[in-house]
Amino acid sequence: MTQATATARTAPTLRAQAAARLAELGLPTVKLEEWRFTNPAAITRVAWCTAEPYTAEPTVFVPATTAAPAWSRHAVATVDGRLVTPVAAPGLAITALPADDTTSLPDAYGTIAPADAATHSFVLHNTARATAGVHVRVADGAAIAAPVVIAHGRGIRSGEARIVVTPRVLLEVGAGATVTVVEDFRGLTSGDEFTNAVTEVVLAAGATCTLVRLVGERAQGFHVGLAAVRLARDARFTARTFAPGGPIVRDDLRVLFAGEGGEAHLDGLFTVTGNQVVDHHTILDHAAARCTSREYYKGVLTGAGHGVFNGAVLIRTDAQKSDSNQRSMNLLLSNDATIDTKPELQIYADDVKCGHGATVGRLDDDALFYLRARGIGANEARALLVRAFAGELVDRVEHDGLRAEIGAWIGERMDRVGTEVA
Amino acid sequence: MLSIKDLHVEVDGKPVLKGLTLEVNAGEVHAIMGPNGSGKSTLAHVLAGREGYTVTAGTATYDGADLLAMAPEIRARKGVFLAFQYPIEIPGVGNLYFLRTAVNAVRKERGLEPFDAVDFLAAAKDRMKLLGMPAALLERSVNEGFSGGEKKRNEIFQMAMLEPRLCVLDETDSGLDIDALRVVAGGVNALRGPERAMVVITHYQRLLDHIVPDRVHVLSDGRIVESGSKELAHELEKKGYGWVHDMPVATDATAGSAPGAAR
Repeated sequence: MTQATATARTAPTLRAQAAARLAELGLPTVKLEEWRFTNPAAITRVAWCTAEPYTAEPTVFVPATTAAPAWSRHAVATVDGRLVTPVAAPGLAITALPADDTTSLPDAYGTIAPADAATHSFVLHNTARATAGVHVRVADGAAIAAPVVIAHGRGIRSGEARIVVTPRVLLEVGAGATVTVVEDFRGLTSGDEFTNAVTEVVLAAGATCTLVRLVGERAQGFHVGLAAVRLARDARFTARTFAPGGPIVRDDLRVLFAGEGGEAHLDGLFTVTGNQVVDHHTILDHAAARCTSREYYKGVLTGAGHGVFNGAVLIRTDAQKSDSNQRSMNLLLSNDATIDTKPELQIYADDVKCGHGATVGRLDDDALFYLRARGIGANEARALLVRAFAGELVDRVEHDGLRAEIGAWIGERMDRVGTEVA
Repeated sequence: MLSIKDLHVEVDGKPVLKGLTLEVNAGEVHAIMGPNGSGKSTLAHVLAGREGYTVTAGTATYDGADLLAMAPEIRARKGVFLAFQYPIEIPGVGNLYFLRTAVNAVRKERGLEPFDAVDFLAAAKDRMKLLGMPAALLERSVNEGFSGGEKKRNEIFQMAMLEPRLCVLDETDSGLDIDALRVVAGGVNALRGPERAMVVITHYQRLLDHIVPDRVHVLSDGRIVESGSKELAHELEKKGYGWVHDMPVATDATAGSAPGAAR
């Protein structure tokens, strides 16, 4: 696709190409190794309505709490994947990705996420449908202090219960620039929709970027998301993924170190209850020397919930002095909950540091008794301990306002989990 | 206030307390002494309601109510406090938040308004002074990274905040140097009063130089085998536990069967 001429890279062309390729490859099945923990059939067997084309402008549905938080000066919303209002600020431009048949899409569009793999044909599915998504550009050297918030929402139409929404974001951070982007999917939990999101991130040399993704807890419907990141030399990327659960939440996070000296920190916190499934697949591709990667995923599992953490690390032949570490810590609060945690290390260089560790445990009985012996009720004591377990990853959010909002949101979820255990 | 009658307790099917009887009235301080393995900590845990202890016979009543039927948090709210021998570290739970939650749970039980953050902090700072605790400890996670002495001070600080009626101190002197022991004992003594009873469990007599008991009981093989005035503690100090009749043979140096071996 990168070989295509500029004029051919319009949205209609890329959409048609993706649709054709998707028809050949089909959507993933449980037979694929990448999907063996989570059967995508529940998603793929549904005849989803597409949000396109509009017959009338939809009612905008974006929860007020997420639309424009006080702590962000740069908040935009999407409705059914379409950017609502562009933003221009010094060093920052948020525009709609061109959707017409004469304007080319940005060069990076579609080149960061895997575009031609049966295992990731949900990306093709997104590309075939995404229209007028979000293009965030941060100029070289710009330091954007307040987090940029992209609140994904859906339109409400009558008679379209099972709708597919395909948010698409391309984030390009210039050399030496700094930005935090929050993708808030919590507005996409109002009904029985299927969210299939693709986020592509390109970091130029020395850029620093934090991508926070808030995947709403949902009672019905599905969330599939893929974020793919490419780091040029000395770039620094941090991902913070919060996923409190749903019938199926599948998140793929792919990081490619394309230049030396890069650094990536991937944090993830998820919870599952009932029959929920949250499946995290991460790939850290050390394709250049002297890059550092750290992963820290935590899961809180109750009911008959199922969690997956599959952490792949690829250290290529030339990626000497790679330094990679992965931790997966899981709190199992019921007998029926399950966690599959699997490191997947492929190391082809000889001078590397590579570590991984996983723990699966229950609430500490000693701590529980200690709290109760001070008058704190059993439910509250459990909630306190669960909050503490989860809180570690919330506390790592740098921005005060954002941390407070995530803390309140996750805290409420943790209180329910703690009570549920009783 | 506390009335224990013929209490039998098993741990993992093994009898540990074998007919313990103890009567503690308001305003009294009772010391329970005994060698390792005599059942001292089991008694402390049973009184606080820890799981894993099976009461096979006997009763324990607190203000006439069946103590053993109450959940640990109910006991705490009704005024039973256990100062742990090994306070638990709880990463991620702030000491301040933890203690305010606990204090307000107890206040609710007593029909008092909950402390707001300001009132609570004022009360906390007041009592921290009593124990010579740096205010920074409030900002940390519960007991996390505290030194042994800090943990023990934190226990007595919590006791001061919760204002219990029955205090059970489990080996509060263990791991304390003499200066820390004085401070902790000073904190405990400040809490002595006509409405409050204390059960001080200790292996060594030295704590009782600082917290002077009204009664001393010797626990051996799950029973109280000797009771007396504070002089009994001195006698034990001189002679070791070996002289107590029905004593099992001490199996390690710290149990100290030889005269003068108790440190």
